[in-house]
Amino acid sequence: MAIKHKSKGVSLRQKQGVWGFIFLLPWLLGFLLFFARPMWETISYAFSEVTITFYGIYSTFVGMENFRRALFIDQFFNMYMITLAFPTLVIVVIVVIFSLLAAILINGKYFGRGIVRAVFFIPIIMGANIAVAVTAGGDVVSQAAGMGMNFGGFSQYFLIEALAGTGMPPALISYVLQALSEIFSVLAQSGVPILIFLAGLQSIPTSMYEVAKIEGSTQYETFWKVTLPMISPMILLSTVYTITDLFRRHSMAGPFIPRVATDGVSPVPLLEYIRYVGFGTHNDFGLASAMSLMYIVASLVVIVVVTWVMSKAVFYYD
Amino acid sequence: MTKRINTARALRKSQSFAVSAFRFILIICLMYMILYPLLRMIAEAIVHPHVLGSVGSLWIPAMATTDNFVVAWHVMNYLPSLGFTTLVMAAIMLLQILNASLAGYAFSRLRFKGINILFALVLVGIVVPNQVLFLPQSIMFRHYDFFGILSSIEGTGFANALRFHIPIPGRDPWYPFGWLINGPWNLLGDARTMFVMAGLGQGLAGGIFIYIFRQFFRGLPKELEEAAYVDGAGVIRTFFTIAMPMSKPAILTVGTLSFIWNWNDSFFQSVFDPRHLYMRMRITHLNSPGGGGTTIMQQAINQVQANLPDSIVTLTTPIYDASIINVANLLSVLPLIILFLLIQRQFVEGVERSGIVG
Repeated sequence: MAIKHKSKGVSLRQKQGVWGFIFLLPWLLGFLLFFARPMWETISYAFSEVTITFYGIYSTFVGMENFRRALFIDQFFNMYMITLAFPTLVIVVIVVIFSLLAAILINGKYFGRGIVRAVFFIPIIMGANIAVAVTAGGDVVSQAAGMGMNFGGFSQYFLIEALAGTGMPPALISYVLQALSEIFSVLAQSGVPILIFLAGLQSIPTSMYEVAKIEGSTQYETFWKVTLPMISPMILLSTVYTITDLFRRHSMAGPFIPRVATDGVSPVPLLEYIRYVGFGTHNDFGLASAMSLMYIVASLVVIVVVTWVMSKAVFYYD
Repeated sequence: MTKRINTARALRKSQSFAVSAFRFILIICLMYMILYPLLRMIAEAIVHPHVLGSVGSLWIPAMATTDNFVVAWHVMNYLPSLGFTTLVMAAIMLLQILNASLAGYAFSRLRFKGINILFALVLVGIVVPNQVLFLPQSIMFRHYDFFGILSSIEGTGFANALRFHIPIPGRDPWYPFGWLINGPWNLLGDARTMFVMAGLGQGLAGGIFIYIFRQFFRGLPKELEEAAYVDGAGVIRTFFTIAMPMSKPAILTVGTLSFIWNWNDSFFQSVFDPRHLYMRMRITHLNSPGGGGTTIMQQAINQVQANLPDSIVTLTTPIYDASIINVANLLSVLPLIILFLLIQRQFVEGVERSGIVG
């Protein structure tokens, strides 16, 4: 019997592989149709002069011309690219540290745990664009009060006084102020990272803490020697998540996202600007494609570098 | 000796009390800051138009009213939009769960040669923002064609099918036969477009959902599925009767995130189906500047004026428009908040057990 079975030449593993391919088919189809093909088109348009007409799209090859125009002639694009990475990374660091501390804070058993957790996940529901629209000082009352500066700005004034009084270096003060002025964006951004950290904290075996306690380590030592190494994979995960989320959010509202007023009135973020170049008065789809391509490459580079650097420090328990 | 131990114990006790009191205060402060946008929205929503914008009505309005809710309710066409948005988002959610669970299962259990390359492509898909691909995507949906089949029926041949093409009355012989064989379809402005994207894993955050399911299935013990194979069950049967029932936490996590994210997202809708039936789209529309001296919001208020009770005060100032937009935003997240409060506990437990982190 066994020999007969073998002669069919299909092991369970091979069969599973075939089924795996079948299970992946919907995704693969979607990837080829709606990701690979648009990606290829974007790449080919980036090297072409594109005219969109009623009958279709016509393109002629122009080499690096679009890239040259994006970087050296367009007045806004290089400004965006320069200001892209730094504010993003600053906010990512703040978001990750804040989320970790918040998760440690709300982890464990205490009175009112259910309510606290429900509140901490509200940023996930609210959607950053809604939350930020309200808190950027643009709400009705702040506008109508017409005080010249909104309430956030008002309290910031006292803070500058207080911090300057402590003799902190000005660079640090401005960093703290920037972080504070973006506190609501940080909160709006931190829903999923808190979730990731909370799940990570739950997965640390309690026996480790017991051992640490028996060995006489303080809470402080336990944090650095047990909690932090055990949670380091989640730090990597939530960092990468936050970076990708911010890069995706470059079309949305958010005070920490570099914005340029292309029409001199309303500042728009980068992806919105690319859309404007492709469809607006320019109607220059080749140029827009070149910009998108550079944007994708830049964000990929940032993410790969961050992942690579961080993965050196990540500790895997098993 | 005992006395010293007692003092040490008392010290430790008071220390731990101080720590937990500090923690409690910190938590309350953070909760206030997280709730601040929501509280602001609510405080703003119940201000009577007559005292709108006065400093005296910052948190507690001098004149409270529910008028703004009535106006926003009518302007948004609330119940029909709510029903439509819920239906579409629920369908998208189910499609995303199905696609992500199939793909995640394949990536964790049904591995074949080269599958790691495909998984790397999933990760690339997570990183690349949809916004940079939307133009080719939307052109594709504008002239939707099943690999050129529709165009070949029309007689223009496969070579032409590669080029995008809109049929023209008089020029194209098949025109009177209608949409069925009339060349490529225009699928833009149709919820089907978003269903196709979601079902094929390219919807909002599709890659993240695949990742969550893969991590979850990797953390499941293999024994049950192996037992099913030994008992002669096929792969499909094992997946639907063993693996899926065990993956409730992952389904809950992905389902909740998919529903909430799609609900709040305006990008996919604005590109693929910008009809005002969706709440986000309607609010975006109401928020846009109008022409001819009035805003879109004022035009909308004028349209529904007849349905409003007489006692309701409406203004024509920009501040009033903004306050109605605010109430509309509040009304649009209200279903999500109610839903989340209902399932919050299961959701958090689901995330903890779904092994997102593993």
